Amino acid sequence: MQELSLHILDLLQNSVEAGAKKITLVVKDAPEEDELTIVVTDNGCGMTAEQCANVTSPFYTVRKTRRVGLGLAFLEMAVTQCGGRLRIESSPGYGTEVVATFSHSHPDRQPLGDLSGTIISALMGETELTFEYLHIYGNIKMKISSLNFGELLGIPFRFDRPEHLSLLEKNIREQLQTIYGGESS
Amino acid sequence: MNKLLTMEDLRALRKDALGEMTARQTCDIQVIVGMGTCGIAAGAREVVTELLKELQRRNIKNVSVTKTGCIGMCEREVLLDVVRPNEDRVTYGRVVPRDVSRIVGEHIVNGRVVEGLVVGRITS
Repeated sequence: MQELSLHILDLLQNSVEAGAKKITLVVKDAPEEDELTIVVTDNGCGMTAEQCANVTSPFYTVRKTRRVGLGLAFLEMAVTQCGGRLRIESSPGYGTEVVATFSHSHPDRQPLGDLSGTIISALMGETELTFEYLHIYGNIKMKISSLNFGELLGIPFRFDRPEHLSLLEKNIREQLQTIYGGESS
Repeated sequence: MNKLLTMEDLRALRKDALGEMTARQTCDIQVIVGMGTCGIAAGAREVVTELLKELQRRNIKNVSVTKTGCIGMCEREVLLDVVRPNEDRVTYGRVVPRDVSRIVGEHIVNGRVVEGLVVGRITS
Protein backbone atom coordinates (compact mmCIF):
# COMPACT_ATOMS: atom_id res chain seq x y z
CA MET A 1 0.00 0.00 0.00
CA GLN A 2 1.52 3.27 -1.16
CA GLU A 3 -1.02 5.69 0.27
CA LEU A 4 -3.04 6.05 3.45
CA SER A 5 -6.18 6.26 1.33
CA LEU A 6 -5.61 2.66 0.20
CA HIS A 7 -5.69 1.62 3.86
CA ILE A 8 -8.91 3.62 4.20
CA LEU A 9 -10.29 1.74 1.19
CA ASP A 10 -9.46 -1.52 2.93
CA LEU A 11 -11.12 -0.42 6.17
CA LEU A 12 -14.26 0.73 4.36
CA GLN A 13 -14.37 -2.56 2.47
CA ASN A 14 -14.12 -4.43 5.80
CA SER A 15 -17.09 -2.42 7.09
CA VAL A 16 -19.11 -3.19 3.98
CA GLU A 17 -18.30 -6.89 4.27
CA ALA A 18 -19.33 -6.76 7.93
CA GLY A 19 -22.81 -5.81 6.69
CA ALA A 20 -22.68 -2.22 7.95
CA LYS A 21 -25.64 0.02 7.10
CA LYS A 22 -23.92 3.12 8.39
CA ILE A 23 -20.24 3.96 7.97
CA THR A 24 -18.50 7.07 9.22
CA LEU A 25 -15.05 8.15 8.09
CA VAL A 26 -13.16 10.89 9.89
CA VAL A 27 -9.81 12.14 8.63
CA LYS A 28 -8.17 14.64 10.96
CA ASP A 29 -5.14 16.20 9.37
CA ALA A 30 -3.47 18.28 12.07
CA PRO A 31 0.08 19.28 11.08
CA GLU A 32 0.29 21.73 13.97
CA GLU A 33 -0.28 18.91 16.45
CA ASP A 34 1.96 16.67 14.32
CA GLU A 35 -0.84 14.13 13.99
CA LEU A 36 -2.89 12.61 11.23
CA THR A 37 -5.78 10.50 12.45
CA ILE A 38 -8.08 8.22 10.49
CA VAL A 39 -11.22 6.88 12.14
CA VAL A 40 -13.62 4.41 10.52
CA THR A 41 -16.75 3.55 12.50
CA ASP A 42 -19.43 1.13 11.37
CA ASN A 43 -22.52 -0.62 12.67
CA GLY A 44 -21.63 -3.95 11.07
CA CYS A 45 -21.54 -7.37 12.72
CA GLY A 46 -18.56 -6.51 14.95
CA MET A 47 -15.90 -8.87 16.28
CA THR A 48 -15.45 -10.95 19.38
CA ALA A 49 -12.64 -10.10 21.82
CA GLU A 50 -10.62 -12.99 20.38
CA GLN A 51 -11.05 -11.82 16.78
CA CYS A 52 -10.21 -8.27 17.82
CA ALA A 53 -7.00 -9.41 19.52
CA ASN A 54 -5.85 -11.36 16.46
CA VAL A 55 -7.06 -9.16 13.68
CA THR A 56 -3.71 -7.49 12.94
CA SER A 57 -1.98 -10.86 12.53
CA PRO A 58 -1.35 -11.56 8.84
CA PHE A 59 -2.16 -15.23 9.41
CA TYR A 60 -5.53 -14.60 10.96
CA THR A 61 -8.69 -14.46 8.89
CA VAL A 62 -12.25 -15.67 9.28
CA ARG A 63 -12.68 -16.25 5.57
CA LYS A 64 -12.25 -19.57 3.91
CA THR A 65 -10.88 -18.55 0.52
CA ARG A 66 -7.30 -18.33 1.78
CA ARG A 67 -5.37 -18.52 5.04
CA VAL A 68 -4.02 -15.00 5.23
CA GLY A 69 -5.70 -11.67 6.01
CA LEU A 70 -3.37 -8.80 5.30
CA GLY A 71 -5.49 -5.65 5.45
CA LEU A 72 -5.13 -4.68 9.10
CA ALA A 73 -1.62 -6.15 9.24
CA PHE A 74 -0.59 -3.68 6.54
CA LEU A 75 -2.28 -0.84 8.38
CA GLU A 76 -0.51 -1.72 11.63
CA MET A 77 2.79 -1.77 9.76
CA ALA A 78 2.11 1.65 8.21
CA VAL A 79 1.20 3.04 11.64
CA THR A 80 4.16 1.61 13.56
CA GLN A 81 6.74 2.56 10.91
CA CYS A 82 6.04 6.20 11.66
CA GLY A 83 5.61 6.02 15.40
CA GLY A 84 1.81 6.06 15.43
CA ARG A 85 -0.84 3.97 17.16
CA LEU A 86 -3.68 1.73 16.09
CA ARG A 87 -6.73 1.12 18.24
CA ILE A 88 -9.50 -1.29 17.30
CA GLU A 89 -12.66 -1.51 19.35
CA SER A 90 -15.45 -3.84 18.48
CA SER A 91 -18.52 -5.39 19.94
CA PRO A 92 -20.37 -8.29 18.32
CA GLY A 93 -23.71 -7.13 16.99
CA TYR A 94 -22.95 -3.43 17.42
CA GLY A 95 -20.05 -2.60 15.16
CA THR A 96 -16.39 -1.68 15.00
CA GLU A 97 -14.27 1.41 15.32
CA VAL A 98 -10.73 1.58 13.97
CA VAL A 99 -8.57 4.55 14.95
CA ALA A 100 -5.18 4.93 13.26
CA THR A 101 -2.98 7.82 14.37
CA PHE A 102 0.14 8.73 12.44
CA SER A 103 2.98 11.09 13.21
CA HIS A 104 2.32 13.80 10.61
CA SER A 105 5.91 14.88 10.03
CA HIS A 106 7.51 11.43 10.09
CA PRO A 107 9.40 10.79 6.83
CA ASP A 108 7.88 7.30 6.56
CA ARG A 109 4.31 8.53 6.94
CA GLN A 110 2.58 7.75 3.68
CA PRO A 111 0.69 10.53 1.87
CA LEU A 112 -3.09 10.58 2.11
CA GLY A 113 -3.49 10.05 -1.64
CA ASP A 114 -6.70 9.91 -3.67
CA LEU A 115 -9.49 10.11 -1.09
CA SER A 116 -12.34 10.84 -3.50
CA GLY A 117 -11.50 7.83 -5.69
CA THR A 118 -11.12 5.72 -2.55
CA ILE A 119 -14.54 6.58 -1.17
CA ILE A 120 -16.48 5.89 -4.33
CA SER A 121 -14.54 2.67 -5.01
CA ALA A 122 -15.22 1.39 -1.52
CA LEU A 123 -18.90 2.17 -1.42
CA MET A 124 -20.05 1.55 -4.97
CA GLY A 125 -22.77 -0.99 -5.42
CA GLU A 126 -24.11 -0.70 -1.88
CA THR A 127 -27.86 -0.29 -1.91
CA GLU A 128 -28.72 0.35 1.73
CA LEU A 129 -25.88 2.36 3.10
CA THR A 130 -25.54 5.70 4.81
CA PHE A 131 -22.09 7.20 4.64
CA GLU A 132 -20.70 10.20 6.46
CA TYR A 133 -17.33 11.71 5.86
CA LEU A 134 -15.76 14.40 7.99
CA HIS A 135 -12.42 15.85 6.93
CA ILE A 136 -10.66 18.23 9.27
CA TYR A 137 -7.58 20.12 8.16
CA GLY A 138 -6.24 22.48 10.82
CA ASN A 139 -9.38 24.40 11.76
CA ILE A 140 -11.22 23.85 8.48
CA LYS A 141 -13.95 21.21 8.46
CA MET A 142 -15.63 19.53 5.54
CA LYS A 143 -18.60 17.24 6.01
CA ILE A 144 -20.27 15.15 3.35
CA SER A 145 -23.15 12.80 4.01
CA SER A 146 -24.83 10.55 1.47
CA LEU A 147 -28.23 11.56 2.94
CA ASN A 148 -27.61 15.31 2.49
CA PHE A 149 -26.11 14.74 -0.93
CA GLY A 150 -29.27 12.87 -1.95
CA GLU A 151 -31.51 15.65 -0.62
CA LEU A 152 -29.61 18.22 -2.62
CA LEU A 153 -29.80 16.08 -5.74
CA GLY A 154 -33.53 15.84 -5.16
CA ILE A 155 -33.58 12.05 -5.34
CA PRO A 156 -32.15 9.36 -3.02
CA PHE A 157 -28.41 9.03 -3.45
CA ARG A 158 -27.50 5.56 -4.69
CA PHE A 159 -24.08 3.99 -4.47
CA ASP A 160 -24.99 1.57 -7.26
CA ARG A 161 -25.45 4.31 -9.87
CA PRO A 162 -22.22 5.24 -11.66
CA GLU A 163 -23.48 8.76 -12.40
CA HIS A 164 -24.28 9.41 -8.71
CA LEU A 165 -20.82 8.15 -7.77
CA SER A 166 -19.15 10.41 -10.32
CA LEU A 167 -20.96 13.42 -8.87
CA LEU A 168 -19.93 12.47 -5.34
CA GLU A 169 -16.35 11.88 -6.43
CA LYS A 170 -16.19 15.27 -8.16
CA ASN A 171 -17.68 17.01 -5.16
CA ILE A 172 -15.26 15.44 -2.66
CA ARG A 173 -12.29 16.09 -4.95
CA GLU A 174 -13.19 19.75 -5.43
CA GLN A 175 -13.85 20.35 -1.74
CA LEU A 176 -10.54 18.76 -0.78
CA GLN A 177 -8.71 20.85 -3.38
CA THR A 178 -10.31 23.92 -1.86
CA ILE A 179 -9.34 23.16 1.71
CA TYR A 180 -5.80 22.24 0.77
CA GLY A 181 -5.47 25.16 -1.65
CA GLY A 182 -3.70 22.94 -4.18
CA GLU A 183 -1.20 21.52 -1.68
CA SER A 184 -0.90 17.78 -1.29
CA SER A 185 -1.24 16.34 2.20
CA MET B 1 -13.86 32.73 -1.24
CA ASN B 2 -15.06 29.81 0.78
CA LYS B 3 -15.79 26.90 -1.52
CA LEU B 4 -16.38 24.69 1.48
CA LEU B 5 -19.95 25.95 1.54
CA THR B 6 -20.81 24.06 -1.59
CA MET B 7 -24.59 24.00 -1.34
CA GLU B 8 -24.74 26.16 -4.45
CA ASP B 9 -22.30 23.88 -6.22
CA LEU B 10 -24.45 20.91 -5.31
CA ARG B 11 -27.63 22.57 -6.54
CA ALA B 12 -25.92 23.25 -9.85
CA LEU B 13 -24.87 19.60 -9.97
CA ARG B 14 -28.42 18.59 -9.22
CA LYS B 15 -29.66 20.27 -12.37
CA ASP B 16 -27.18 18.35 -14.51
CA ALA B 17 -27.79 15.16 -12.61
CA LEU B 18 -31.56 15.10 -12.84
CA GLY B 19 -31.47 15.11 -16.63
CA GLU B 20 -29.02 12.25 -16.69
CA MET B 21 -30.78 10.21 -14.08
CA THR B 22 -34.25 10.29 -15.53
CA ALA B 23 -32.83 8.76 -18.72
CA ARG B 24 -31.70 5.71 -16.81
CA GLN B 25 -34.18 2.93 -16.20
CA THR B 26 -32.64 -0.53 -15.93
CA CYS B 27 -29.20 -1.99 -15.27
CA ASP B 28 -29.04 -5.08 -17.42
CA ILE B 29 -25.24 -5.42 -17.52
CA GLN B 30 -23.26 -6.00 -14.35
CA VAL B 31 -19.58 -5.26 -13.79
CA ILE B 32 -17.97 -6.65 -10.63
CA VAL B 33 -14.50 -5.64 -9.44
CA GLY B 34 -12.42 -7.55 -6.86
CA MET B 35 -11.81 -5.23 -3.93
CA GLY B 36 -10.13 -7.33 -1.25
CA THR B 37 -6.77 -6.24 0.15
CA CYS B 38 -5.12 -8.05 -2.78
CA GLY B 39 -7.24 -6.19 -5.32
CA ILE B 40 -6.64 -2.87 -3.64
CA ALA B 41 -2.88 -3.42 -3.55
CA ALA B 42 -2.92 -4.42 -7.24
CA GLY B 43 -4.72 -1.19 -8.24
CA ALA B 44 -8.47 -1.93 -8.11
CA ARG B 45 -9.26 1.66 -7.14
CA GLU B 46 -7.62 3.04 -10.27
CA VAL B 47 -9.48 0.49 -12.42
CA VAL B 48 -12.81 1.43 -10.82
CA THR B 49 -12.34 5.17 -11.23
CA GLU B 50 -11.31 4.65 -14.86
CA LEU B 51 -14.35 2.42 -15.40
CA LEU B 52 -16.74 5.03 -14.01
CA LYS B 53 -15.11 7.71 -16.17
CA GLU B 54 -15.35 5.53 -19.28
CA LEU B 55 -19.05 4.82 -18.64
CA GLN B 56 -19.64 8.56 -18.24
CA ARG B 57 -17.65 9.39 -21.37
CA ARG B 58 -19.68 6.95 -23.45
CA ASN B 59 -22.91 7.93 -21.70
CA ILE B 60 -23.68 4.30 -20.89
CA LYS B 61 -26.64 4.03 -18.54
CA ASN B 62 -27.53 0.35 -18.34
CA VAL B 63 -24.49 -0.87 -16.38
CA SER B 64 -24.29 -1.39 -12.63
CA VAL B 65 -20.86 -1.48 -11.06
CA THR B 66 -20.40 -3.50 -7.88
CA LYS B 67 -17.50 -5.08 -6.05
CA THR B 68 -16.58 -8.26 -4.32
CA GLY B 69 -13.94 -9.28 -1.78
CA CYS B 70 -11.03 -11.66 -2.19
CA ILE B 71 -12.03 -14.73 -4.18
CA GLY B 72 -8.68 -16.48 -3.76
CA MET B 73 -7.06 -15.60 -7.10
CA CYS B 74 -4.95 -12.85 -5.52
CA GLU B 75 -2.08 -13.27 -7.99
CA ARG B 76 -4.41 -12.40 -10.86
CA GLU B 77 -5.88 -9.24 -9.37
CA VAL B 78 -7.20 -6.81 -10.46
CA LEU B 79 -10.12 -9.09 -11.36
CA LEU B 80 -13.05 -7.64 -13.26
CA ASP B 81 -16.16 -9.62 -14.19
CA VAL B 82 -18.62 -8.68 -16.90
CA VAL B 83 -22.07 -10.24 -16.81
CA ARG B 84 -24.31 -9.60 -19.81
CA PRO B 85 -27.86 -11.00 -19.69
CA ASN B 86 -28.11 -14.60 -20.94
CA GLU B 87 -24.38 -14.78 -21.65
CA ASP B 88 -21.42 -16.37 -19.83
CA ARG B 89 -19.98 -14.53 -16.86
CA VAL B 90 -16.49 -13.56 -18.02
CA THR B 91 -13.66 -12.86 -15.56
CA TYR B 92 -10.80 -10.66 -16.72
CA GLY B 93 -7.51 -10.80 -14.82
CA ARG B 94 -4.54 -8.50 -14.21
CA VAL B 95 -6.66 -5.64 -15.46
CA VAL B 96 -4.97 -2.22 -15.54
CA PRO B 97 -6.70 1.12 -16.18
CA ARG B 98 -5.68 1.19 -19.84
CA ASP B 99 -7.56 -2.11 -20.44
CA VAL B 100 -10.81 -0.56 -19.26
CA SER B 101 -11.75 1.30 -22.43
CA ARG B 102 -11.23 -1.89 -24.45
CA ILE B 103 -13.38 -3.98 -22.11
CA VAL B 104 -16.11 -1.33 -22.14
CA GLY B 105 -15.98 -0.74 -25.89
CA GLU B 106 -15.67 -4.36 -26.96
CA HIS B 107 -17.49 -6.41 -24.37
CA ILE B 108 -19.97 -4.14 -22.60
CA VAL B 109 -21.07 -2.19 -25.68
CA ASN B 110 -20.60 -4.72 -28.48
CA GLY B 111 -20.73 -8.08 -26.71
CA ARG B 112 -17.33 -9.24 -28.00
CA VAL B 113 -15.22 -10.81 -25.25
CA VAL B 114 -11.64 -9.44 -24.99
CA GLU B 115 -10.06 -12.91 -25.15
CA GLY B 116 -6.49 -11.92 -24.31
CA LEU B 117 -7.45 -10.79 -20.80
CA VAL B 118 -9.85 -13.61 -19.87
CA VAL B 119 -8.88 -15.77 -16.86
CA GLY B 120 -12.18 -17.48 -16.22
CA ARG B 121 -15.68 -18.05 -17.51
CA ILE B 122 -18.85 -19.26 -15.86
CA THR B 123 -21.48 -20.62 -18.21
CA SER B 124 -24.82 -18.90 -17.83
